[in-house]
Amino acid sequence: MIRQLRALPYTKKKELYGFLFVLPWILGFILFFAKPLFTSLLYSFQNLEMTPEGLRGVFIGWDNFEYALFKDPAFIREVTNSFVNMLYGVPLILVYSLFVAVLLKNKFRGRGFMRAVSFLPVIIASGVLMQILKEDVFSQGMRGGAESVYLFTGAGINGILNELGLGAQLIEIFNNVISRIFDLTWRSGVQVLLFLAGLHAIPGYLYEASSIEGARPWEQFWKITLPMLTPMMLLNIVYTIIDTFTDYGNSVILMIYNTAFSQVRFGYSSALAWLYCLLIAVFLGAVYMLLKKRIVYMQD
Amino acid sequence: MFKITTKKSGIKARRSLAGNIAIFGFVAVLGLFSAFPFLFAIITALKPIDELLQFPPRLIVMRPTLNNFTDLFQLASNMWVPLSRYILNTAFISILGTVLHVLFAAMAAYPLAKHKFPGRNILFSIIVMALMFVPQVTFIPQFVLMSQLDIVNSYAALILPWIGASLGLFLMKQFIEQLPDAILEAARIDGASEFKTFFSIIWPNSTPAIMTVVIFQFINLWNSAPKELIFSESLKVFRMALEQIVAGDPIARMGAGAAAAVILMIPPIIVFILLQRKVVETMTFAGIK
Repeated sequence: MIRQLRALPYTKKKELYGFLFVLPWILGFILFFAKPLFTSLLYSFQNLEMTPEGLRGVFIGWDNFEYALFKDPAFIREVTNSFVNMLYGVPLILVYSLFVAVLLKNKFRGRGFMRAVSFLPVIIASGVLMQILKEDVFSQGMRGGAESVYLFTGAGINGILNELGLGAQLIEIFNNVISRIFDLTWRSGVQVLLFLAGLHAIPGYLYEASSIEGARPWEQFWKITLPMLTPMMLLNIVYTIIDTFTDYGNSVILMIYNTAFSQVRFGYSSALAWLYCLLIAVFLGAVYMLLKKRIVYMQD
Repeated sequence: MFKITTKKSGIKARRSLAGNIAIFGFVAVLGLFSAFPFLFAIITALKPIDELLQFPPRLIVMRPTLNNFTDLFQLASNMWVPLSRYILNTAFISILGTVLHVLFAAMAAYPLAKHKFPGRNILFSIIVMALMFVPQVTFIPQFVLMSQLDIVNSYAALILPWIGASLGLFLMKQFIEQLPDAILEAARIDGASEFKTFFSIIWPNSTPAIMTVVIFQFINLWNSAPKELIFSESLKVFRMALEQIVAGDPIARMGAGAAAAVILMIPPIIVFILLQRKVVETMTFAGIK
C-alpha cells in the first residue's frame, strides 16, 4: 500500500495531500454544519411538536413555505426592509471604512492606539457590555448593534444637549445624525481592518514609480490604491452583505428566532430561515458575478 | 492628502501642517465615536451609587470610586465556585477553540488555494454558501446532535463546532491565494514535503490572515455565554458568572455590572492591541509582494 503510494506521480500525490489537509475541516463541517443543515431542511417540511419523547415531526409538504410567502403578513415586509437597509448600508460602510483605513495607514503618533480604537466596536458590540447595559441596567430588552446605538444617544447625548440648552427639534436632528454615524462606526470595525491589511499589501514601488512619473497622491489613489484594493474590496463587500443580513439586530433574524423559541414553531422557523438564506444566496451570487470581472489581480 | 512612504527611499508626498491637523482631528472625532460606549462603561463603573441612579445619566463622574470593583469581587467571593475558576474556564475555551479553528482552517485553506484537486471548486462554493447560513438555521438540529453525541455540558460542545467553521477558512483561502506560486515551487524544488511546505512556507507567510482569524475567533469565544450548552457551575465561563452576579439585583448591582463589563472587555482589547500590528504590517514583507 505504502509502496503504491510512493510510486504515485507527483500530481497525484499532491491531490492526495490536498485531501489530507482538508479532511479535518471537512469532518467538522459535515458533522456540525452540513448534517444539522440537512436536518433543518427536513424540519422545514414538517410540523414539529415537542413530545415527552422528544421532537416529533409530521410531514406537511410545502405548507410552511406557502404560508411564509403568501399568508404571513410580516415575513415579506421584513425581508424587503432588510434588503433596503442593506442596499444603502453596504456602500456607506465600505466608503467609510476605506476612508478610515487610508487615514489610519498614515504614519502618525498613536497610530496603533487609533487602530485599536477603531476596532473597539467589534470587540464590544459582540460582547457582554451591551448585554449588561441593555438587559440589566436599562432593561429595555434591546438587542443587536444597531439598536444599542440608540441607547447611548437616548440616554447620554440627549442629556448633554439638554444641559447645553438646545431646542427639542435641534436635538432630534442632531440625534439622528449622530445615531447614523454611530451605526456606521459600529458596523465597520472589521472592514477597516481588512482594508488596512489590503493597503499594506500594495507594494511601495508602485507609488515610487508613479511619483517619479509625476503622479499626484490623488491620482495615485485612483490609479494604484483603488485597483490594487479590488480583491479586498470584493471580500469586504461579501463580508458586509452577510454581516448586515445576519446581524442579531436584523428584524428577519429576530423573527426567525422568535418563531422558534417564543412560539415554539420549529418547523416554520426552519422554513423561514431557509427562505431567507436562499434569498441572500441569490443576491450574493448576483453581486459576485457582477464584480468578478472588475477585480484586478497583481501579476508577479 | 495621502502620505505615501516607501520603505526604500522614504519619498513623502507634500502635506501641509493644516492638512495634518485636519486629518488628526478627523481621526480623533471618529475615534471618539468608536470609543464612546467603552468610555461610558468605564465611567459607569467608576460612579458611586448616587450618581448611578441619577436621571438623566450624566456623562462625567463627579466623585470617582473603585467601590464597584470591590463590590464585584465581594459578590464573587460569596459564590461557591471561585472566580478564578471561571476565568480559567473562559481562557481554556477561548485559547483551545481558537487554536483548533485556526490550524484546521489554515490547513484546509492551503490546498484549496494552491492545489488543483477534483472537487475543489465545488468545495469552495459550498464554503461560500455556508457563510450565508445564519446560525439560527442549524441551531436546533445542532443541539439535538450534541445531545445524541452526549457532549452537552462539556467543552467539546463549545469547541468542536469551530473545527468546521467557514469564515476563517474563507478569509485564509483568499489570502493564501495571493501568495506567489514561485515560493511554493522553490520549496518543492528544494525537496520540501507538503507538510514542510505548509508549516514553513504557508504558515509563516500567512501570519496576517492567521492573526485576523485569531482576533475574530478569540473575541467570539471569549464573549460567548453558552447557556444552552453548559449547566455545571464548575464548567461555566466568566461571562455567565458575571451575568449571574448582576442578575441577582439589577438596580443595586448596576455598578458591579459595569465593572464586570470593563473587566471582561480587557482581554479581547489586549489581544487586539498585541496582534493588530501583525495583521496590518507583516504584509509588506520582502519575499511576498
